Amino acid sequence: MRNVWRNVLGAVFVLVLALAVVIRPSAHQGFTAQVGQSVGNIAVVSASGQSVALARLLDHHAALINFWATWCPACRMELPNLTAAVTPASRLLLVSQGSAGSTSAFLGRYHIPSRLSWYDPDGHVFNAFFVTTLPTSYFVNRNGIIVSKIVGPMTPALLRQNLAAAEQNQED
Amino acid sequence: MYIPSQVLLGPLPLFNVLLIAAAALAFVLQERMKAPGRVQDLLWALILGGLLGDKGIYIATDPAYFVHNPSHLIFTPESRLGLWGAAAGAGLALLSVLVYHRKRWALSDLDAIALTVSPALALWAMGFNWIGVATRIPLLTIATRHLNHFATYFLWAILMAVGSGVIWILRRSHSLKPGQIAGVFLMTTAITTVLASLTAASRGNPFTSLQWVAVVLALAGYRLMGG
Repeated sequence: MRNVWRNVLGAVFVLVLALAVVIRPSAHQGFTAQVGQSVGNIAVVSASGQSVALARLLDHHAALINFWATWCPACRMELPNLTAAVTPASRLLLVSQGSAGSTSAFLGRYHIPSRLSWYDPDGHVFNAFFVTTLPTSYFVNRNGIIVSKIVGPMTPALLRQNLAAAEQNQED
Repeated sequence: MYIPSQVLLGPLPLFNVLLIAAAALAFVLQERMKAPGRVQDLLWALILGGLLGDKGIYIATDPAYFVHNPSHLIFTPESRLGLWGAAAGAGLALLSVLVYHRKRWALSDLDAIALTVSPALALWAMGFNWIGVATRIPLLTIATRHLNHFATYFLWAILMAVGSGVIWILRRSHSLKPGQIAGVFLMTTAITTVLASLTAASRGNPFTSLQWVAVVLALAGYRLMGG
């Protein structure tokens, strides 16, 4: 192989690397679901179709906001652990895109009250939190600030550890 | 395009199914090329070491839970912990194989690895959850569940497939020195990785971790292409 091909590929690499410095994705404005941001203004929908802001649902409690789906086997694996881990100082919000009727019936099989279930029929909440893997869990403190995020099903130890950190966090 | 992490084939996520398919493809290609046994050992070490490291680190953090629920090991969190476990497991296993065959390694082994790993990576990439910035480019947009983001994994898979085609053509049509095909593979992988990363939102200073990995690959590739 002649050195010319080596140099051509080398030059192409340097060029794309330079592009990586020049063409940088524009900085996001507003809510991007990063640690330190507030979730208070995001609204979810109740089983009766009423839109409710997360700030109102959290009501100055630390919380675990869990994005899930009934068809997702990994979500079903962690579901029983979620209610067991939540303490009086924290709240659990289950957010899904399914229909209210079938989701409530599904949760009933796990003895989970349907009042914990909230909905995102048009997908704007999933998009705002950039949820691409189910389940995805956000832990927020009593001020509604994101403290941590876990993608995929959590072990009970991981769940307790993150919830305790959210309960102790005082960031405003 | 689809969201890879939300596609399940039976009880298994697409990522796992494609990993199995990619490993099978790599082994079939190695058989066809009559690659030395030590190259096959290396591939086994990479796959098994990575898997055991990834799952093992979660077992170590919560052993009682996984003893009672072994099936839960199919789905473990996507975290740095798992990445570190996989890297450590694969690294240890690779080192063991390298040491075991220490006197027999040749530069041509690198070519055999490149020719089999390259198409396997292209196939496996279709299951990566690598999703980029908001876009509406036809074919490269994930349009399910209202997402409208760049299917970066798909772009990378296509570019890797093109790179595979290039090195397989090079193998057939040119008389190359040992190690040069591996050099081209590393160079094309570095270029395609940086190109795909341009569509992703993550930013570095000046580069992301992945782009730094690409720099290392490019330097190694440039060195090997020299023959």
